[in-house]
Amino acid sequence: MASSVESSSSAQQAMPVAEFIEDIPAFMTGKNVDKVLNELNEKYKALKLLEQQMMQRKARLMTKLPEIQKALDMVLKLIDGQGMEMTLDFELCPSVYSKAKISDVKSVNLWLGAGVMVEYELEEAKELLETNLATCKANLNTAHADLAFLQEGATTTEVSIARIYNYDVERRRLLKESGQAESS
Amino acid sequence: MQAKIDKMEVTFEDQQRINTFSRTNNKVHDLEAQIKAKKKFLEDLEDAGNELMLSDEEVVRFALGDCFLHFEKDQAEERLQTTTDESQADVKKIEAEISDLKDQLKELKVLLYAKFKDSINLEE
Repeated sequence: MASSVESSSSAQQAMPVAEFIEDIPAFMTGKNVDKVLNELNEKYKALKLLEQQMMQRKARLMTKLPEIQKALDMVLKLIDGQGMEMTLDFELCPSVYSKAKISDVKSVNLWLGAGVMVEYELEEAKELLETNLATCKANLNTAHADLAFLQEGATTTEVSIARIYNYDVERRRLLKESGQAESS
Repeated sequence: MQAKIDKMEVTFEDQQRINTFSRTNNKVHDLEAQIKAKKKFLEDLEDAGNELMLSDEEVVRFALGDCFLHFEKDQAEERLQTTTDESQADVKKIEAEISDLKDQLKELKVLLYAKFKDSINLEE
């Protein structure tokens, strides 16, 4: 349940940066076209892989969020119902429910993961869950931002590949024509 | 005679526009998925409300987390109404956001198609 907030800047620093090429002919002088295209393709594949991983991370966080919310709702209801008796049906095992009468609830047990469950007083439990919910939302936002950054990098690299390819086609065409002009 | 090929220069501004278009398009898809889920939830809530009105039982089991709390019929109706109102407010907010983003996409499309015509594909 406890998770750490990753700073988006450090995560983004670890990623390959896709730079925008301002002037293609200037960039390409003295460089071998195929080699450059290969490098860019490699970069593109790396970015796509990172993008996939980020999407998986985002999906995991999105499933965690409702779970934390459910636990928080329950704790809030217990705090509300202090001093009153509540009857509820709880899940004994899948598809089997059992009736329980709860009164004077002072503490709850929270599942922290890795086979560990800790007893908390109601107020402490509420604070812990609220913190976890906030952390989860923050991590989700970070994952979102990182994903956007990666997708931009991938798009920029795609455009660069297209432009260099077009530049090369144009260059070969000009070479061919000037070659023909010389020989004629 | 030399055939003139349109040399398409891509400026930094164009790249930014393309990136923004891609980002905004993804966000719209995300939000549309969210809205679909929320609308389904609203439908379920409505069905539950109808069932509640038809039923004669005094004790209603209301889902909270993984358990079902026992409520009296009136309390359950109230709770259901609150949840429905909240969800409807959420849906309206997301719909407004989608509408804004779609306008942005339209603008970007006009600009990018004007410059790149057939060399760019901006459809879903």
